[in-house]
Formats: sequence, structure tokens, C-alpha cells
Amino acid sequence: MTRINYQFYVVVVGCGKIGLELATRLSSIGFNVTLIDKNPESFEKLPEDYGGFTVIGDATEREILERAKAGKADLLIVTTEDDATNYFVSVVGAKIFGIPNIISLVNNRENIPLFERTGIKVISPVSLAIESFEHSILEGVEQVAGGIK
Amino acid sequence: MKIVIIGGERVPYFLAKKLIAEGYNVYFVNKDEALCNEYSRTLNAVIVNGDGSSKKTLDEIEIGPDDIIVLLTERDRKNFFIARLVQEYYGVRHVVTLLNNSENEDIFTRFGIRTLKVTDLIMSNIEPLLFENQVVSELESETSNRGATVVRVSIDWGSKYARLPISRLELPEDVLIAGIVRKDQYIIPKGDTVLEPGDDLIVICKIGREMEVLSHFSE
Repeated sequence: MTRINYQFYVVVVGCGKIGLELATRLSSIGFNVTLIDKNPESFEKLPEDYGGFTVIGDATEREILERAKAGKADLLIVTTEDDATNYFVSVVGAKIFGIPNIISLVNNRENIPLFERTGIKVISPVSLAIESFEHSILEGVEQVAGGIK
Repeated sequence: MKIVIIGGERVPYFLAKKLIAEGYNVYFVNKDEALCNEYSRTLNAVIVNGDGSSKKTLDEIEIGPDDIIVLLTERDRKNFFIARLVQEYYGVRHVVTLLNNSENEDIFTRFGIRTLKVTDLIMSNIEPLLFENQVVSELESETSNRGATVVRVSIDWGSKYARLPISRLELPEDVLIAGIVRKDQYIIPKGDTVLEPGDDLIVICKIGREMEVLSHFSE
């Protein structure tokens, strides 16, 4: 696995399926990672060799982002299952803590434009799935078409 | 122009009633079906039962730039999200929202969203009471084991001390005015502080001399 030497600091909000896996991977690559979740039990699923930090609390509260040293973050990743929470945390991260890069999970596709208009990069699981499907279907079609030629 | 109230329970009812009486077009959006049913019978407003943070629900209302949006949900993040939705999608200029956590005021202001700081409002109303209560209870705990006590004396309109400065009160020996409670304020008195009718004095005196103090002020 590639190791990153540059001291890149990432704050991950939400320790659900995506947040947990992402924080674990980023940490094993060599990023400095802090994972925030309001439910302490969600951290129990973290692997034993997870090298990052954890903060228990609601990331929509300033105090919690301060505890996670959000002001020093190079990247904020927001992964909760509520879009209003993701949007709020993203905007506070960008405007109040001045975090230069924000990527947010968007659960409901209809909310993507709002995030993008505010300058937040979005990851939409549904859009990604559709794109992947489309991509592999088209690839298949090309192969078939190539075979015919 | 219409006024769209999203979220809330009883506040929107009375707000809508006033606005309707003044001739405004009122829309009420709420997730709670029972509440919507009730208001559809009692309010002459357009009632929409749905999630106000969903664009689909908002599209139904056909919001325009001149409409006024009032956000009363219990979560700042939700109010913020809806405020930004209506600003971005319908170009709404006037959004007023309930603000629960006052530390979030900056982020709302940054996006031109007006806030009603309920928590601050309640705090500013009870703070003087809390302070007064705290001062008195601390004084009591500090003095009780040391032979002194705290007495509260009211200065009424007929009192000969009203409008007199503290220095001219001619207090008995071992009596001290530790504070003056005046409306919302707790005043730390100095010699030239003038008493006003309606003031409550927090007085420290030796135990056993409480009656003497009270009668001194009621003369």
C-alpha cells in the first residue's frame, strides 16, 4: 500500500459504514485522522490497529469540531446519513474553521445541487452506483460492437 | 406575496392567525399529520403535510423571490438547510428562522438569514434572577457559620430612604448593604448610590439583629 509522508490532516464526521472504513483506510495510508461520532458504540467496530483519533460528540456543535482540531484540518469528510447535518457541518467547516477541502456524502440525490452551489464536493452513493452500472454496460456494448466489426 | 411557515407546533398557529387577520396569504408546512389535520380545520391557511426540507414538498408551494419564509423547526441544521434551499432554488430574499444554539448565529448571518435567538432571549430574562439568587445563597453560606445573616428589605414608595444615597442611611452598627436588586439589575452599592422605590436591599447583619434591621427600614 502507498504510504504518504506529508502530514495531511483529515477530519471524518460520522462513523457509519462509510466513515468507519474510510477513516481506517486513510489512517493506514499514513494520513493523520480524527473520526467524530455522537455515538460512542460506533467506534467499537474500528479495527484494533486504527492509528487515528476519535472524538465523541455532535459535530454540528462548535466545541466538538474544536476538540477535533478542525481548524488545522486539510480536508473535512462528512458522512452522516442526514443531508441537513452533512450540509451544516460542511458549511461550518468551510466558513468558520476555514478548512480548504470539503467532501460530503449526499444521501438524497435531489440535494446534490445545493451542496455543489455552496462549493462542497459531493459523493452520492446512488449516482456512483448508476454511473458504474452505466460504465460497465457501455463497456460490454463496446466489446460486443467490436466483436461484430 | 405569501408567508410560508415551516415546522413548529403552537407558535405557527398564533402567528398564522395574526397574519391571516392582517390579510396575508399564509402557508403552513409540517410533517405532523395530526397537527396538519387540526390546522386545516381551524386556520384559513394552505396546509401542506410534508417534509419541509425536501425540495419536492417546497416545489408544491411554488415559492417565489418575494415570499417570506419563517422557519420554526427544532434543529438549527434543518432550519439552515431549508433556508439555503429556498434561497438557492427560488431566490427567496427574506428568511427568518428560530435559532436554538446562539453560537450558530454567525453562519446564518453570513448567508443573510435573519435569526430569532430564543435561547438568548430566555437567558437575558432569567440571568438577573439567577445572579441575584446565587449572590444571596453564597452570602448565606459564607455568613451563616460566622455569626452573620442575610436579610432582604424592600424599599417601598413611602419609605423615607427612597431617593436617599446610601451614605445618608445612618445604618446601625454591624449592618452592611451588600447589594441592591433593581428590576433586572443587581447593583453593587457605593456611598453615592441613590435608593429608589421598588428596590430590594440585600443586607448583611449579625444574627439576632434581623428584626432591628427590618424595623430600621420600615420606620
